[in-house]
Amino acid sequence: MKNVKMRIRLFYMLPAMAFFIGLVIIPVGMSLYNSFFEWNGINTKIFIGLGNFKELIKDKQISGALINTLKLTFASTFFQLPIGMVIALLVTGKKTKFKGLFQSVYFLPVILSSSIVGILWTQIYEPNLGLVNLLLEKLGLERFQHAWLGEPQTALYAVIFVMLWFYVGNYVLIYYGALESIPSDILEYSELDGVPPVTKFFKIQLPLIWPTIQLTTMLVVVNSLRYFDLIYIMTKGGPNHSTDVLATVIVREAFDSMRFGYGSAISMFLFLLGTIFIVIINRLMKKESVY
Amino acid sequence: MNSIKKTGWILIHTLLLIYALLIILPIVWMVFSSFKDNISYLTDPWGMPKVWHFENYLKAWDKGVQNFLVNSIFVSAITLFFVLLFSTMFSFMAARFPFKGASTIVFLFFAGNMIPIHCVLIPLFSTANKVGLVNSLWSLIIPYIAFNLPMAVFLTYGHFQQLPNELQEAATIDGCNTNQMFRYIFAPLAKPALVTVLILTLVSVWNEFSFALIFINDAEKQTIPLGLMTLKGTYQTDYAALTAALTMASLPIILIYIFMSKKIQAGLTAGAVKG
Amino acid sequence: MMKPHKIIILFIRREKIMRSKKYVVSVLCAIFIFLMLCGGCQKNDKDDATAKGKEITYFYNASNEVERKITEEAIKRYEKKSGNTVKTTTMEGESYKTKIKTSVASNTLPDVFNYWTGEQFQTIVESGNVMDLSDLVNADTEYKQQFIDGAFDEVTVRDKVYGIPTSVTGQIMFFNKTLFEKAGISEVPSTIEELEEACDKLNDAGITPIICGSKDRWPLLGWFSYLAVRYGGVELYTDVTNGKSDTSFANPEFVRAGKKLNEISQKYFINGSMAIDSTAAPAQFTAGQAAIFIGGTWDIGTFASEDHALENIEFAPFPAAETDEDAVYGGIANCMAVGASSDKKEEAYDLIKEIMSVETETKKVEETGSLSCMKVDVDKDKMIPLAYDLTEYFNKRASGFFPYTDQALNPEQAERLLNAMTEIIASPDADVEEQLQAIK
Repeated sequence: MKNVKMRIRLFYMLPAMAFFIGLVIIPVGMSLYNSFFEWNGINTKIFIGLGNFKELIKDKQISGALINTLKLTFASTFFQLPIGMVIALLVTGKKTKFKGLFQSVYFLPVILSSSIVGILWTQIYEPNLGLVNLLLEKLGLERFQHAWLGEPQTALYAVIFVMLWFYVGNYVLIYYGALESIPSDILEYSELDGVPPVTKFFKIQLPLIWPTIQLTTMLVVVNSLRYFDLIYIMTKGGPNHSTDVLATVIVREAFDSMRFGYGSAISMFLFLLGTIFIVIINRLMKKESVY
Repeated sequence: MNSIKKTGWILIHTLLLIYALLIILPIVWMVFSSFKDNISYLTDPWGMPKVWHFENYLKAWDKGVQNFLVNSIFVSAITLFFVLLFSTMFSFMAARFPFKGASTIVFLFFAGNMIPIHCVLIPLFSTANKVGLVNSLWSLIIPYIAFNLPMAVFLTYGHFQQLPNELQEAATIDGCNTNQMFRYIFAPLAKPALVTVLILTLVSVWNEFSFALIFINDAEKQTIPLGLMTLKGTYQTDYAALTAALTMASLPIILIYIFMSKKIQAGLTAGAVKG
Repeated sequence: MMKPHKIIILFIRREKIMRSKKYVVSVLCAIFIFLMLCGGCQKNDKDDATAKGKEITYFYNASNEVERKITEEAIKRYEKKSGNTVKTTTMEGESYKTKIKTSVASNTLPDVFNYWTGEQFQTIVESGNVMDLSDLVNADTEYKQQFIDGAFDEVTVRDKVYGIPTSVTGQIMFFNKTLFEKAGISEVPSTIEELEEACDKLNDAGITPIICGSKDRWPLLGWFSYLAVRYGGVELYTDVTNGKSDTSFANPEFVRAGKKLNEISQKYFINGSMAIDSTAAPAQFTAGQAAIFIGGTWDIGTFASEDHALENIEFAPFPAAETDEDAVYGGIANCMAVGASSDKKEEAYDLIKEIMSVETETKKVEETGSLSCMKVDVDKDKMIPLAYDLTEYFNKRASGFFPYTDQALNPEQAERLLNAMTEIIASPDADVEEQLQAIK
């Protein structure tokens, strides 16, 4: 049987592999190559071996960005996922009305483009004219007013909140689908047996949708580690690098300071970091491994 | 007992409602602001427009917002189609007819997910330029397919792996060849995973900015994220018209989604019920 | 093979669909098909035009609506005269810089492009990415003479001409005279002490004294560099920015300027200026959100876009310190150049000549109030009064220009400088000297 299959096998597998190798693996290889050079994109490349990596370790900008990236990742994981789950649970509850409406609404932010969300929320956070400060004023809470995107202490959290707003809908949808796909008889039995909702969740529903949980955890971590769009649009990594993440540093080094070699080195570092995270998470969450 | 249940019920609905408001409010604000003129936008941002300036929308139309929309839809649709197709084909073969090293290749795919996009931007751009594939929507579609394949492969592979072996045996006994097996049995069964892939890929492509910035020059070929950012520069002071452009770019998709969402939900659950 | 957008519709067909929903979906689909056809129509028109002649690619950054319109008119004139077509790509400042830099890195510069002069331009010239235009320009004495003296200095590298200068810009202090009156300020401040007194009065009257687009960082240079030149003079400034060997940014005058900036930003800047970018700041100033704004000639278009705002806005030279220095922050800051790999040198040059022509420049000056590096005769009545007054001031009364700081430095240094600026205004006890030391 397997002999015949070689041509067919190639037919099925080749397109995906061709795209992947040609447009992902090879450019990554080129980028790795570049990371050993000092190159401003114009002049000839100068080989400096591990020079970029040595600089990377000492660079304060990178360590700051790394901390922010980790903060962002943890905040996203521990807020977006649980909140998404809670809302999905609430929406799937038997007695909940307007299910369809809620679902549509919650997924809305995700459909808006990130530029729209970025520009919109920059307006909302505006220190003198924005909704947040105006609302605080109306409630008599002026002392809580801040220049949300303009102050180093608040900027990162302001951005994390917008990411939450933006992405939770994604997970609500995925969890909803997963929860709904649990055969309803299991749930009915548990109710007949008088199992309280909390236990029902942890002992029955959660284990049954564990692959989905694994998936969403990987998703949120991977996306947060390399997140760029909203941060760039709202703060460009400022003020004073307080919202810098590794991705914004890469763009700044490569495109603003024109140091493509160094930028490639940082990218490699980010790539390594991500791979390590994925492996760790995979091990930690191994119940029914996905592959 | 009943009153506790009822308060719980009310509490739940209140929470859901608050969250829903939190989402709708900024969007509603955007729509109302788009009818204001600049001064009232700056000085009275949260009030209703006193004069309804419909011409803001004409200005936005003039700037080509409809082009951004059409381009984004075109790029998204084509990317989606090929990502779904190629990933299903690949995973079908890798999961149902495994060979040595299949899972290593899949792991490679998944590792590919973590690659920071900016890392490959320059090499890809140089290469693309040499083959003359820049400044066209296809020069976006091809990288987008490549970048979304890893996640798609990962999802479909996992899904296919969990299907029972008996399916293949039964199909072979019935006289199916590989292609028929794929087309009539396995592809339809992949629906739940494909819906997730669809959502994730759509979100990623719809929002993609960096590649569009570098690869696209012509104003008519810009996708929504890029188009809006360039408008932002042009509209240095005309915030109201910019908001009109934002609304124009969002509203059609919002409307379509609201009408389609029931079907997408059904798609999500259909696979489970039948499986 | 399934058609792409039909995948979603296939899901639908499996369920029972209410007639009304189907109707809505098909209506929406019809709308999209209609839109696509419209988009297609637009493209078809252009295709007809490209039938004859060569195609020239041109990148530029549109700074405001009016200027863009004037440029496009010039382009159309060129197209008519030459029978060639021009394909333009425009986008705003920061994205535009990224675009050009990637084009340089991948050797895909267009035929014609705009860029900022200074250190960065020199870098791309020296990397061989810009076409040498000396032969065309030097032979074209008639055209050269239409420019003001010294206009070509910024675009000449090692005695070869690599570009045509485009605009003369300058930053100056704008103030809202209505708000000044409200606060009881009768005279425009002419020294830095008077400026601070005026700001105190504004604070007392509940009016925000100063607005600055600190989010984009370079607006802060408007304050810092002016202070630095007022305290230390133009020569010191030029020496430091040129990197003369025994100078540094941490010299006493510059530290003094930094400290003063720190004070002013803490006491008088609008709340949260770090969240306001360089396009929001002039807009808010126009709407009367603050009384003082250091803006550029390019902002006049913004002021003019609101009906009655111009009546309230006037300009004044940046206040003096102990020296009598009254130089203006600005100069020739932009140019048009030709990509080195272009095969249409002559056509590109002609296009540039049309865009940088007395005809176009006169219109630009009259309608946007910008300054020109060409000798133009403007009709005073056609101009915005503020713009005319400003032009007269620059041409006749100011002693000269000192160049933009971030353009005079190489990209890495410029990045560090901009960084230092935000650190300086970040908190009351920012270590100014340490920040300035970091700019090497």
